[in-house]
Amino acid sequence: MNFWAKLFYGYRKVAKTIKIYLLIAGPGLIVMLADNDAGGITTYSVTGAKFGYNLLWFLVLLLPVAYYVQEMTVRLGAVTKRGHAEAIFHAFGSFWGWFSLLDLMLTDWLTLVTEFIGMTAALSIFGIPPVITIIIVSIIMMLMVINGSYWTWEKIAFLFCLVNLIYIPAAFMVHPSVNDVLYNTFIPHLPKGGFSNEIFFFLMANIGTTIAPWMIFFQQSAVVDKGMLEKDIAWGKMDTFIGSFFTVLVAIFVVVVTGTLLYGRTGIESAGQAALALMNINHSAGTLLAIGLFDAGFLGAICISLASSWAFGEVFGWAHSLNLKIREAPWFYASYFFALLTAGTVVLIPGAPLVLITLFVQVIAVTLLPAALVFLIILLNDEDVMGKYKNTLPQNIITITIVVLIIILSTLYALTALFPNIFS
Amino acid sequence: MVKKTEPADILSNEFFLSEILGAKVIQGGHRVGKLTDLVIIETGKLPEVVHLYVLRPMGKPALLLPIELVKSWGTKEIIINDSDVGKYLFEYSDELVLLKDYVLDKKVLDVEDREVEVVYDIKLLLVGEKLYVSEVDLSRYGLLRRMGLKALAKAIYRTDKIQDEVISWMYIQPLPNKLGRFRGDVKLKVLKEMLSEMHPVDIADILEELEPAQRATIFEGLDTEQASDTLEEIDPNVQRDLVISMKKERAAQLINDMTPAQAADVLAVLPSNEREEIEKLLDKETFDKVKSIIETQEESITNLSTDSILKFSPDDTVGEVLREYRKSAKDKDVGMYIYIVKDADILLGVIGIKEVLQANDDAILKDIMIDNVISLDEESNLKEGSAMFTRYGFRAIPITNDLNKILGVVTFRDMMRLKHRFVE
Amino acid sequence: MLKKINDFLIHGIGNIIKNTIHEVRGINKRYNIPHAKMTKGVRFSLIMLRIYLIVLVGILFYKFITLL
Repeated sequence: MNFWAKLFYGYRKVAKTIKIYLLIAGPGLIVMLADNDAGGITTYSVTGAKFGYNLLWFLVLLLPVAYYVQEMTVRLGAVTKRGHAEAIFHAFGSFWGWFSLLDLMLTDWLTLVTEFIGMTAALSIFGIPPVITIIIVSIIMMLMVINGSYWTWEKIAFLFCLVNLIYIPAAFMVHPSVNDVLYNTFIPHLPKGGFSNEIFFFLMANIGTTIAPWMIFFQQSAVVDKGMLEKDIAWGKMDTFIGSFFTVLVAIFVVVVTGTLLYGRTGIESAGQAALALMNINHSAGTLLAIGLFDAGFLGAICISLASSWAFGEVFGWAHSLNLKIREAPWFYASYFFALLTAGTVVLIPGAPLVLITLFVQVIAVTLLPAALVFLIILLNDEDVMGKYKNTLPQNIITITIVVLIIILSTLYALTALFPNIFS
Repeated sequence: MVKKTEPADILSNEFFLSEILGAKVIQGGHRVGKLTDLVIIETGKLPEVVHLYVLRPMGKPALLLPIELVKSWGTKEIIINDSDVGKYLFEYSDELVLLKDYVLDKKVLDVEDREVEVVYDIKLLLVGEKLYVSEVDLSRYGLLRRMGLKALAKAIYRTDKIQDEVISWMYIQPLPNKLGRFRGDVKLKVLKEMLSEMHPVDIADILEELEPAQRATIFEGLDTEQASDTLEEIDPNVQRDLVISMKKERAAQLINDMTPAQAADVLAVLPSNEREEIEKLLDKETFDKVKSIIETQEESITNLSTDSILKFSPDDTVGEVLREYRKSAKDKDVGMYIYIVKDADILLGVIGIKEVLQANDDAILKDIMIDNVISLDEESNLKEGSAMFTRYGFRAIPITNDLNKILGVVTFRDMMRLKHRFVE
Repeated sequence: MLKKINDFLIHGIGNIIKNTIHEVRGINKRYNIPHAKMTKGVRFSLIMLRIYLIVLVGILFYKFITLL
């Protein structure tokens, strides 16, 4: 083969890879970008405002964490063709099954409320009242599923995923020092003043937003609903990897935006406040941050409510697929809308204990997360079910380490949330 | 200004895979989807296209339409018959061989695993309702065409030069089992160096395997010299079919290109009316030579035979034969064999003199003779006689009539003496 | 009229509860036996999980009580 032939061969191979990837991409990319939900963006914004660029390197470490955990759901889903809730019932019996399902429902619903808090906060910056926000959200969600095809849902979700990348131009708008950003991203170090309880709290918070129980349930069910087969596993893994790359990328850029303009300011406790504060300094960056926050909340909301609907459908044996029309899978869609609308309504109730709910989410999530992760690893080691796709020894070492770390850190995080003075 | 009318977009006979990929699949005026790939099965000859892989819009499940549904092929539109396409849903299976996905853009290796080129394009051959994969395009022209630079390609390369690099599928080994999107290469049956030469013997072998229609089309694609060489090598029955299906002018051109002896061979297999037509189109010089050879060839073999041979009775012993042999062999034309006859020269068997010498003196001839004697009949001509010697390698062959009476024997030596008249 | 609505509500809700209980029983029956291979490691992790959850729920209760 001469040079041109080799060049063409290489080019076609890459082009083909991208083309096939785009056909198969979905669950991994969506779950990872939805992972940067309202709570996530809040955590990153506040981290940026409190510590500037100093914790950027830590976000990079979250990439393998997210990837290795979520990658297991791809294999499990593609091999068993079962969602995670059903898999737990099947493998561990109804006690653990009900525990996971009900806990998931509770966690998801509370998380949904936080998404709505984020969305309404974001749009109220543009003067849109919460009621209108919730109506808009409901209409878009209706449109996403009315066609009765996973494909449509996924493509619209992709659109919102794309909007999630809005933080990247936003970061360039605020002219950060590229050298500083690169240094802080790739060289691990502690901010001036050394280690403190506050830093520890934020490290834990960042890990907590990276892995949430609903993500495990969501991705596995989505893999099943998309109809991925064993031959697609490699692509699903690639999808998950690219997704985790983007989730970390977005996180870094959020921190860069707030870290550049709001570093050292006090009184930044949420993404909404961060966006509002930014509006005064750099109007367009603030606008983008607000749009991004709405988008993050929305992406989180659709994925989370789907995660519970799929789980319920699997266990109760309802028809549960986005490939079905509303009248073909009434209970599935009913629970999808029910969760969304009730969560949306709670936000509208004047004087609802929203702060308490936000706090509560982290605590409740910690009751489910360890169980879900442990189950995941046990399921992935069952050779009878997984065959050649079971966890290899290196995979086990990596995932068990990650899971143990997550359990310890998220438990400590929950404890500090419950007892703010526990470590001081 | 003369406005060119748009040519009807209907393909016939031959076209490239790259031309039809992406064409709309139309049924009753409605668009069903987009032709994305073709499923082939290997028949041992040319692979046959059996299904169309059609992607539908809006993420509707893909279709695998049987080729029988196709009414007409076009670069923009492929029209299919009315039928319920919904029942042809695509289901993945390891068995499927997808032409575009698995073969196009793959490396081509020769028998020594040297990388020759890339499969830039694949030529398809439409024969009636059936579609075959006929050729693989390894040419720079194919590369440029794929890059969308057809006009440039035409300007740079003269089309007849390209022919060398478009190679018939007959040169390709059966596809490997492990063929996949990124796995497996296309392997040739020949060495890299041989590609440009296009082995007449190989082509002949493979042409003999094909259906007449396929054969004719491929044969047409060869240049005159190759075609002429190939025609010489081919089995006489196939030769006849092939020449009959050709235009007479082309046949004459090919025959002119051969040596007179080969030309005579080809002409000899044709029915007499075909032969006369072609003979009229030959060069005067060639014709005369061929004519004289044919006439020579058609002389009766009996003209060449001798009856000066050694004959014995089946009950004679070896001792008797040896005594007689010493006495009279010197005067005989044929001394290598003795012939065993009964009554009125009815041939029963033959023994080589070597076998006689090795046997015991008291052995009876009928016990050691070979009784199924290869012989020529009295109507055989010289050409047939010559063929018989080439085939069996005997030093002499007897000529018998219907009653198996031995009329004479032709010797190889005499045959050779005549041979020069065939060849010149 | 009001009584009718009242009846319907009680009746309807009663039915839904009845159906749900029925379904839940079915699910419990279907997933009665765990299918995972109960190796030592699996048993150990499940026990640890139980302990973890009991402790965590205990802490939550404590917090809840002290809050009140």
